[in-house]
Amino acid sequence: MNKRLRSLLPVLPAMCRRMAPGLPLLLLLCLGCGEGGKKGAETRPPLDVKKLLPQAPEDPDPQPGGTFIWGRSGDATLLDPADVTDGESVMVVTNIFDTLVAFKRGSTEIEPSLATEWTTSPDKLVWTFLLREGATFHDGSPVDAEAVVFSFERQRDPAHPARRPTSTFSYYQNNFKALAKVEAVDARTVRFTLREPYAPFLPALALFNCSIVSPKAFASEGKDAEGRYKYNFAQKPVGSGPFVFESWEKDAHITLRANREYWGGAPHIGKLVFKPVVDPQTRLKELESGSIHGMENPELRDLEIIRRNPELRLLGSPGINVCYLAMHTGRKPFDDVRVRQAVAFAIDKKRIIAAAYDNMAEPAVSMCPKTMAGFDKSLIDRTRDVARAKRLLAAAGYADGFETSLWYPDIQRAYLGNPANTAIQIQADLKEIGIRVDIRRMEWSAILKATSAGEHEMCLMGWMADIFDPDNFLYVLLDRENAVEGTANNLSFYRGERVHELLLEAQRTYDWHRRERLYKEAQEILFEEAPTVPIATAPDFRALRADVRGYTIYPAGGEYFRHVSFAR
Amino acid sequence: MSRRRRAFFRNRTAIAGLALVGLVVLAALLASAAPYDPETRTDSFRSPPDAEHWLGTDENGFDVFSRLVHGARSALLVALAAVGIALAVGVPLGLVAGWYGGWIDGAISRAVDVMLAFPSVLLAVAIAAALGGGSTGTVILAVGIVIAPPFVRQVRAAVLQVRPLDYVAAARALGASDARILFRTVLPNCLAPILVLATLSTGIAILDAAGLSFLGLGPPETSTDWGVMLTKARVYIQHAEQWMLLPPGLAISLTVLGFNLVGDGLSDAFDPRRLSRS
Repeated sequence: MNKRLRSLLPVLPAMCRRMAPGLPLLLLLCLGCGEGGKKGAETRPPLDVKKLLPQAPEDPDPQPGGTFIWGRSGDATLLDPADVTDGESVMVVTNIFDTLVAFKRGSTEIEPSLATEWTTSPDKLVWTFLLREGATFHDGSPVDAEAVVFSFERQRDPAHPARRPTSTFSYYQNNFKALAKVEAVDARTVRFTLREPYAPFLPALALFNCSIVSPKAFASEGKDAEGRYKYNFAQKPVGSGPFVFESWEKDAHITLRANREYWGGAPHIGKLVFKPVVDPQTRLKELESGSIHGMENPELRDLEIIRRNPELRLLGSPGINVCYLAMHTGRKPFDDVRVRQAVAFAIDKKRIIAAAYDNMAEPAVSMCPKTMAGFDKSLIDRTRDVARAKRLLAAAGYADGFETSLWYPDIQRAYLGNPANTAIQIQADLKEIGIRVDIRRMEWSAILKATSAGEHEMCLMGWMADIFDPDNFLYVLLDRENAVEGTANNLSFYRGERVHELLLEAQRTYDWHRRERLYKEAQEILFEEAPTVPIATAPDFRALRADVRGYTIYPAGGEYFRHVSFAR
Repeated sequence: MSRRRRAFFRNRTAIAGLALVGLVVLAALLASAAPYDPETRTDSFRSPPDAEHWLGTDENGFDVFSRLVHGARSALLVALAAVGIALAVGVPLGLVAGWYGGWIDGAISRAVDVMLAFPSVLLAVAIAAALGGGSTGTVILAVGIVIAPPFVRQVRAAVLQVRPLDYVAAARALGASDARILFRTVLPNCLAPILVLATLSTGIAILDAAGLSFLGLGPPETSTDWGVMLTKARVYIQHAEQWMLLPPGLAISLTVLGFNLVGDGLSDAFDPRRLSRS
């Protein structure tokens, strides 16, 4: 025995060396098992979203100063407020810029901002806004009527010098087609003239693309040979908002500093940093360790951990969003309504919600979420029916199914709890009716670009409300006017005539009951035509350090940090 | 040879290693006979192991045991392909460096030194990221490149040992070409250390490949790859479903351990000092 042991001795160091790579894993697993014994038996009680508050407590006498670091799931793509479309960019520009009217704190209602008052003509075609006195841009120039005209003109006029060759201004395209002209009446008065009545006009002016930008900043570096301003506004934005842009290091941080001269009162915190931490678990670890002070999109399964941690605070509010599967109706075989219906019949939303949302989302029936006014309550969703889906496919001439692809984003969104698992479930659902789906993960800015250019067959995408109006979902995501390759938000490229008529009429109608009826009919047609399969509406969650005060979730999206402070 | 075989089979740790490797190979061969199709969902999500699902089900409702045995297949294929690349690259370079010496040896050896200066996983990550990531092919190539340098070194050392020997001189005197001497005379006499290294490298390749997949540089999230399974289970480390980490984690650890034990056993069996002692 002794002898054998001794004979092993010279081998031991070698053995240890060889086994070294496996050891950390084994240790980790032993640790896991040990803890499992304690917790394993517990089943997670379902978290009641309705019991969560949408805001952190207020500090009656907020402490000035401090750097607030916001952890988020991705970096911004651009910081030109008129040119951005994704939430990660929007939440930065909403802190740098002001709009004429803005959302009330934590609400979808509109209140005065840069405009203090406004009047409308009896036919509601002419809107006149009086600008606030004393508001200035971060470069010191005044926010006057000329700046307002400049901010809108550059989005309308294709030859405007403050336009980059790559600018799409898709929000302007989508929301301001009715706008005929914007004029400066005098230094403090601006007049908007509409071609036709446009019901969501006032709430639309609170959109980030209506941010008033500094013309002086644009002109500061002169023009190039083609007559365009050289100043790179999308990387160095100048607005009049509560925070001043300081620096942007791609994928590392965007830093803003408090605007001490802000007309609405300076922010309490001194600096605001947006830090992309793509992995939600790493993000939570950073929050736990205090290296970030608040974060968006916590992993749904981690909510309970956050709620129990006395150092953290979990906020929640019912989201106004929809996650959907878009089928490119301009491509075979999705040009056939029977194929689209087959897909709709094959998808098991409950299963997706179990696999990808930890059962914490509501299945969606319409592209207009249940939490949005105008949702058609009479819609009854399809129940999953594989046999019927197969019959529909066979009728369309695809009895043996077909091959196609599904693109999904690599980052998690409020409406997309776990993109990969959602895609995996859809893939498995469709496999059962013979559709073989190649699923492909794509980088966030790449998928936005490729899908709006219509390069996809199927894609997984979502939408969060920008303004509290059903137009913001139905017209933006399904009208043919928004199916222009390159700037499309209508990712199914659905071009239905009747839906288009209904949506346009709803835009021109100010009577809410009539609008509601129009939207109801549109939603019924869209349900039958199934250019998209609405999948889920998920609540919004935020996690904060417990000492953060004054933070509020804005239901219509964007993040606003002016009122945030640290507890004394 | 038979004395070596006896030495190997008398080594109990080596036998244990062989059993582990045998188990994995068996799993890979019989993967198609797994109780469930790895891409067909069952009706339960994240259910703990029971009689129906031996290792439970994952968050998408797939049977973990069935995915694990399919994963064995891809893990072995990736590792063998990577070792194949390492052999194809490392052996010729080692032969050339050892045989010709001089500046050729200098250039090759310094290049190998540079590669060995990086931790292998880090280098593999860098290569995979540079290649774009996201596929099994990338993983094979990255891992293959990373594990090649020790082969160059080992072969070079063996050639240096063999070069001054009489039978090499005899071959040269007979007028054999360099290529013939290298591949017909020198190489067969360097096979033992290459075999040992190849076995050990298979273990390292499995570990590195799983590491790349774990970091998202490997095959897509739908695949049955062990590294992918581990990374998907990792999010449950603080939750009641912690057990989900065990199957892929243990599979990787035990397979790597198996190959390492077999490699060590071979190394001992081929060790001339040990041989003379017995």
